[in-house]
Amino acid sequence: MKEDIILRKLRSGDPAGLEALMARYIPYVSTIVWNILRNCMSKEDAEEVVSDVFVAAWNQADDIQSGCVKAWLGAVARNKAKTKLRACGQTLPLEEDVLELPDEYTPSSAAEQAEERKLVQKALDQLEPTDREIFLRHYYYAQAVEEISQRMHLNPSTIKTKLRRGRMRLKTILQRWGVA
Amino acid sequence: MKRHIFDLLDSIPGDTVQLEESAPLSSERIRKLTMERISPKEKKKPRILYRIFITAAILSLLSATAFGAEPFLEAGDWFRSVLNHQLEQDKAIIQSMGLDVTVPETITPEQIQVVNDLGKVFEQTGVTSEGTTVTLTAAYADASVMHLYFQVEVPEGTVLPDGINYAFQDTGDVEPFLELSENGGCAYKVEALPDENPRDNWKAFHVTARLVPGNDVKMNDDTPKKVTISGIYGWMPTGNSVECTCLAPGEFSFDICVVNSAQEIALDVEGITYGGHKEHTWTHEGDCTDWCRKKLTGQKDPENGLPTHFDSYDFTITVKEMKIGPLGAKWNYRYTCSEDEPFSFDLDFQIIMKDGGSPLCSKITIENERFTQGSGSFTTPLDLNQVDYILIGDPEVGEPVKVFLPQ
Repeated sequence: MKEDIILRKLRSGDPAGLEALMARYIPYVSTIVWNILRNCMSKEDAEEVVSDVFVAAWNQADDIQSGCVKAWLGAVARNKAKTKLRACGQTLPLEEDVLELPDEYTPSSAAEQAEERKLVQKALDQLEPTDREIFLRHYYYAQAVEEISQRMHLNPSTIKTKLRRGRMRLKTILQRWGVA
Repeated sequence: MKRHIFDLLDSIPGDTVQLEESAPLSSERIRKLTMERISPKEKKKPRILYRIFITAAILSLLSATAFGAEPFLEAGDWFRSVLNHQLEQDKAIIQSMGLDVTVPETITPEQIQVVNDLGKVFEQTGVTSEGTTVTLTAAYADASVMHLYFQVEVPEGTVLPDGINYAFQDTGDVEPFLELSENGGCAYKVEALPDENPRDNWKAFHVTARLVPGNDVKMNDDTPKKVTISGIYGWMPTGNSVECTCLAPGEFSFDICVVNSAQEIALDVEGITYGGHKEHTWTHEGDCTDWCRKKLTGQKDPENGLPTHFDSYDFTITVKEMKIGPLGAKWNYRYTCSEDEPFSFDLDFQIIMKDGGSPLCSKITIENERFTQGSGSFTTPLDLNQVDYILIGDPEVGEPVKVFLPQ
């Protein structure tokens, strides 16, 4: 079933749309959820989090834009898994995940948050494609350095170098904005 | 100020990375869990009756939640759109026949409850063969009729069009669609459901399977039944005719059990007799048999220019037995006719509901030496508590007899 048909069926309350959505995206959503929660909970509990994502898709089908289904599921999967992770009192074992930014950097209003989104996207766009993929695999999908190394056939130290390059790019762009 | 990079990336779309999907989680459990947890949605229709129904549905959902019950999808949720579509078809048939029968706008909550009570939602495991996946989603059954809901996805590039008749077996296929037992004959009808995209490779189908008359097997007992689909076939237009064409080959089988306690109610009809004199004129296109030729009047129909035939006969029908269930009925009767080569006579009956409605019944009859046996499936399920009475007889030759369900 094509994605726009899946979306229309979801919006009209046809369970066949949800079936089709799950047939297509359970592996994707499961991977995101499991990457984030594998050190925190059992497979059975993680399966319930994945199910939460599809229940959200059913209940909020009107919010999902055509052409953005996968991105929407990915974002919701990350958020739900992050909430569970915090409830477990754990953090992700990511490489230097914290960026120190100037105190002036406080994007509190909606406009400022929108500007921040643009800058993050800009920083990613400025990375070489391989660097960008590595950065997203680690910081978006929570893949461990060793796993990225195996998947992309790159040395772990190379992965760490490219991650550092990405962090610096992101920090530079956000710092400029914060100071300005 | 400290910011986590993982959080900073919340707002960006991550779907540009081709992620290897290898989490050791059970897709089947996730699917089942999700389907159990979602609550039905009502489609938006600007009709007052529908709004009332939605309010009732919300109230019932709130009541369920208040008592701690988790809302989940039941068979009725899957068949709701099928049944509403059927009502539209019933309305068209009734209008074309000029009958004075009320057809409701939408299926009633009581009818959905009947489907829920008699139904089962299956674990969503599709069977894939030759690139086509067939999923049996839900079914409901009484003793003699079973309704099934399938979803079919054929390979990309193959179209499952609207506006044609479908079959799940080739015309010469001898394997039964629904295998009941050695002597369990069954007829089935496949109907493609209206599709928002009639030119794509996905379609949902509603199948009605019913016992042929004289069969005492039960559809709703605990004996597993085997459903066999040997390809997706469509009757495609070819020149001036249609031809049964294989749209997607494959072998798909499902073992199913839809167990419930729905019983057929025996009506007090033995000995009811009706009959009289009838005449009718008809036209016939194409070759005529000797019997048909004997009926020629020598005149032509002014509307279609075809030769007219005239028939005049006396008949009587005596009912032996009739049973009614929520999804269908079965009956035995005898008939006599003054014709040397008589027609077959269907038993004339009409079910009258308390709200004045009257469900349509699709009939099959089989004759043997002693009786004619008939069976039929109702186009929409009956809440037997809402049946007012049943009229038996042909109103053209006399007042039909009112038969009430036993208390």
